[in-house]
Amino acid sequence: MLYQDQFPIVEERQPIPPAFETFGLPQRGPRVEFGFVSCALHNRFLFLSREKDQLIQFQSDRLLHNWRKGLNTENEYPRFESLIKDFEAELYLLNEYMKNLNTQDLRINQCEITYTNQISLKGSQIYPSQWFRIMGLDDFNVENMSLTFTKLIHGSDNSPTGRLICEVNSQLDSVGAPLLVVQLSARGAPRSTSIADALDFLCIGRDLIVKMFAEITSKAAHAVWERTQ
Amino acid sequence: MITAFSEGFFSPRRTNVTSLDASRSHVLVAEHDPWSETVVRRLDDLVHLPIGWDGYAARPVQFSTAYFTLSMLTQLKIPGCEVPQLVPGVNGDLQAEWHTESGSIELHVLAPNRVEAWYLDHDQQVKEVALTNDFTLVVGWLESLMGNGRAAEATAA
Repeated sequence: MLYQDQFPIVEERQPIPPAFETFGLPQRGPRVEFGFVSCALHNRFLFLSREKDQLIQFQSDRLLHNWRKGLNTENEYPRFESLIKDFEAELYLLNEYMKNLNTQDLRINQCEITYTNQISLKGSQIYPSQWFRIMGLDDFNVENMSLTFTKLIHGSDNSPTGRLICEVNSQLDSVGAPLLVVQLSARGAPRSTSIADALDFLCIGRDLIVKMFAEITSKAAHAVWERTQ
Repeated sequence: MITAFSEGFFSPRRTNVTSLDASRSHVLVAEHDPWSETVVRRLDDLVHLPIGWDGYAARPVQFSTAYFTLSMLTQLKIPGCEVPQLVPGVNGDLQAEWHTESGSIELHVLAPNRVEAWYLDHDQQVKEVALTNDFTLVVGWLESLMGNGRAAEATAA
């Protein structure tokens, strides 16, 4: 079975609905998400590594590869360069499998890369607002907060190809300590439907996410991370 | 998370379904918006068409194509714009169409990111272009179509 050696644990979940980035009218307000869920769909299958820190998710129209830190604080992020190589191998493996069934290559119509960072506020020396350049809520004691904004990703001909999506939300960790969850995603259509162009989009998206994270976080936050790294 | 999407290999089947059943089928709409609700209901109908709905071997509209169309149309919802006619194709594709006295626009959604756009303006000039996910050009067409349509209605009144 595909991926069985490295991902021997199988779980089943409801499928994720399709999501496409399209462009037209200037967006004047928050993005209103709506859709329909009345069609019969196959489930989403999760294939987890023995340590459960890496997983492949597969459904009829998606392949995802996730890394997660989990509760093991010693678990180090294997870095993007390593993960994208794994994902490339998984995509080509799936492509070969599908070609045997369909005599047709995968045709990829949408790509997404997401980084989720948890910033613990427990014992923090600086205010939550001081982590970010984009907020000025000093001394403003909020119960919880949620912030979302998007930016366009442009192709080489300057036409829009995707969006950078930034979401910051307050949450509690597993022991009830406050934290901020920063989720940065790049999503859009690859230049063509080939695997090579899909991987190219993910690499560009990753660079944009890293750049945006540095842009939205403050010097004070960088100083704290420097100290804790 | 790294993701790639593809479509076409596994069409949703109506057998062995464990994720959703009829009792849990529902329409999700963020707020009361008749325009969007009409579009969603029509798309919902189109993905539920039976195989052979045309009397031959036509397929229902592909789920991913319907979702892409929904995303596309939200980018084209200019004030005063009519809900387009949504017409199924026989290969899981569909067309979104606006017809007024001053012209017509047809967007043939073959698959996500594969759209053939056709515009007949008030001078009977035809424009045809292949689009992927950027519909800025169509916004201009629609504004002309609706603007000219409103002008024609005002003249007739």
